[in-house]
Amino acid sequence: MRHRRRAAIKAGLGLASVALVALVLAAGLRSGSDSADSGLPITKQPDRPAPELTGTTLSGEPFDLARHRGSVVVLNVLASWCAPCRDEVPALAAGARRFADRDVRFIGIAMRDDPADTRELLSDTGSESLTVMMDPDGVAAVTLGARGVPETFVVDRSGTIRLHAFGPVSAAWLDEWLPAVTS
Amino acid sequence: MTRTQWWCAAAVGALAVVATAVLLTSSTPAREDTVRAVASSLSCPNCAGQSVAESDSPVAAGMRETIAEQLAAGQSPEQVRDWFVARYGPEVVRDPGTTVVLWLVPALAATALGAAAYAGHRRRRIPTDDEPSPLPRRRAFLAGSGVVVATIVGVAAGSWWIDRAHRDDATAVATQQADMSSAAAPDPSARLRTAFTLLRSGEPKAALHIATAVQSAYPDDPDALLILGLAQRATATVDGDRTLGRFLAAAPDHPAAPEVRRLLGREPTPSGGTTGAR
Repeated sequence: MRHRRRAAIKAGLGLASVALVALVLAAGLRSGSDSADSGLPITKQPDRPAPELTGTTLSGEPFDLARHRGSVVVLNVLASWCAPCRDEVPALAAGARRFADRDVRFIGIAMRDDPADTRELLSDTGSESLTVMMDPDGVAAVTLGARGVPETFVVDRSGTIRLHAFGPVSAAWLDEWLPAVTS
Repeated sequence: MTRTQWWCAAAVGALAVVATAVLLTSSTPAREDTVRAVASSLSCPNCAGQSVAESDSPVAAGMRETIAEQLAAGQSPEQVRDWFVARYGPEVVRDPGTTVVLWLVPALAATALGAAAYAGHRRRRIPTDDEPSPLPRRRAFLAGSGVVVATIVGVAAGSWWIDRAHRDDATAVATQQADMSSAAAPDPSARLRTAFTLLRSGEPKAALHIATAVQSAYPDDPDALLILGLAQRATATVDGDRTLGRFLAAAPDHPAAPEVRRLLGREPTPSGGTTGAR
């Protein structure tokens, strides 16, 4: 009788141990694939101060985000090796013209890209008028908090990042989201 | 200065030279180690479960550069991690507790099994009156096999249970996106853009769902092969590298080709082809 109870306890402990190990292993297998919201693009409103951001544009001019304080700045992280960027860049170049009277600056940030390839991207898409800052090692994109390309950050006149869009933005997206930041 | 003092001064000078040389030669590897340690403690924000140290993605490469720059500027590893938390949220820091438990629990379980086997062996050798007779070897083997099978079944069941909510969400998103993109835009490039966005926003299964459908309809389309290969790599369900290899063969001059070659560890050859670098 005593042996039977002992055996039952042992079996229970054994099963509990197996279940624990299995759960831990399952948690390990599962980790790293978090879910996220969907939408095109996915737009978030972080409301955090824009970081210091300096660099050199494709045409060799120095760029300093701090010097644009007082304007709304649309920062678009792009790359010539990113297929969706090709569709997005013309909308940004056109947006720069459309929103110029509302004091909105559009700046591309070419992440880990070759300057010749970036020029080709702008030329192929008829977007040569877009100002692009080179980010050869990707530090500027990371400083902004980019997770990939394309991503767009909108900085308001006080220097706060108000919008963060994951995925390609369009003219419709600019029309929908920018007025709230420019007003 | 006496002869002894000269010798002392020379010895101190020699020691100073040696110490300086040692410091100079060891400082670079020490910093590289610290960069790697910090990178290992951070999650790549657009990869499935990889650390910044492990990932080949451009963002992870940018993060490694950022870590190196900040450490070189005198920031402590903790300050660097806090900087990343301010941008990417607390989830960017890999939970060391989980990692330790993942190693510790199986190790403890193995130790416990070993101890039980040892105790059983001793009991077999020194049987006592009030204890049951030792298990025959055949029964011990069956019990061990049962534990292994139960563990495997438990892992599978646990994975299914933990993953259930996520899978349902992802499937719903994939179905919704696939329906939306096919209804609104029959152009496969629009659906591939949707898949790419899903891939980056942490929904590789949903991206795979769409990319598979597009690639089935357009088997040789380079963009379909590209997105499908990336989704396969992210979900680790099929050989994504093979699909990306097909992409490179189909479109060696595609704008994404250089980055894909980097991802696959292939360097361009002078003749314009590619070769395996690693």
